[in-house]
Amino acid sequence: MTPAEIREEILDILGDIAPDEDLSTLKDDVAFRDQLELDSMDFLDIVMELRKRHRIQIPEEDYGNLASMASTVAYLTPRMKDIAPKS
Amino acid sequence: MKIRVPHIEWSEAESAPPLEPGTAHVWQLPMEASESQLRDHVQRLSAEEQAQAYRFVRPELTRRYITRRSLLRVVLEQYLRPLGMPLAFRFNNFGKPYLDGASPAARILFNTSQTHEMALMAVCREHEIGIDVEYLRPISEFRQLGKRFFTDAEQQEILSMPEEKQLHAFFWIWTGKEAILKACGIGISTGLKRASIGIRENGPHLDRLDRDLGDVRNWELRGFLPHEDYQATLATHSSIHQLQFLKCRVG
Repeated sequence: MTPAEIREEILDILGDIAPDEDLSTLKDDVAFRDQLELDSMDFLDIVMELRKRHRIQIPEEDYGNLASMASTVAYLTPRMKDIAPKS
Repeated sequence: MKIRVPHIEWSEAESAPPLEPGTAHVWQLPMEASESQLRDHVQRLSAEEQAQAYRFVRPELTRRYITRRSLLRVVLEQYLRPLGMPLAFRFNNFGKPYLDGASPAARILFNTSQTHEMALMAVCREHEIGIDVEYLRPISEFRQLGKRFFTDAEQQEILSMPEEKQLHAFFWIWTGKEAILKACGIGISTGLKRASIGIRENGPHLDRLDRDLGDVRNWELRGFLPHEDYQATLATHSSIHQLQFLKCRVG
């Protein structure tokens, strides 16, 4: 997956977790928590969803990399480069 | 086992009552605000908070943030004013906020939690305190979350419940973990398994705590339902024997 495809995938996951949010105005360089109503449980849901959808295992010490869209995409890009996007 | 957490009564409070030793106050901060109240609330925020308030993608989130932060300041100032102390915050390495400049004799500690339309703040003297509230919503993967982030004993606690009670059990364990780890000043960032929560008839119970976080006997967890749509747990020092539940009517 390319960085753009990973971004779309994260938006899709966020849309499932926080269906009331308007993700079209999400700023990539601002922390998710400063823009959305996400609590820590929702955050772990993102981790679980990545694991379920793509078998990506994210160790707890790396969770800080998932703070914003930009840092999440940067973290996941090398880990998801060999994964095919959903058709 | 039937979990029956103690029923709580909220008292309407226009000002903070005296905070006696051995007592903790639990405040419910209202999230609704008229346009004119909101304008007043904004004025109380720091420049940094005002900037943050408008980063949210939805106006409701901005309204909740502004209202919550304003009322937090109003209530805390009421505790500090008789002591002649100004309101100023500092943060520990894990981001837990503290009141700055408090002399040891007048140490006032607080902790907050918010979700959806519910914001709670716990306040006590001398001892660390932690609180967590969760909005009760369906979580299809809660058993998977438990498998990944809970101890074996906690997973067993959940699975031993009738199926229709398992999600509630999950929330008791979750709020218990968050509350105690916030009280310890670290939050859940260093791992959810640092505390192990059991479930008793009156709600969550602290079964185990990593040794570096202190003695499990020094802590007490109290589960309560601030509203039918929310579950919450308060973690206090075991010397706290009285709780006052206050619905904020100030500001």
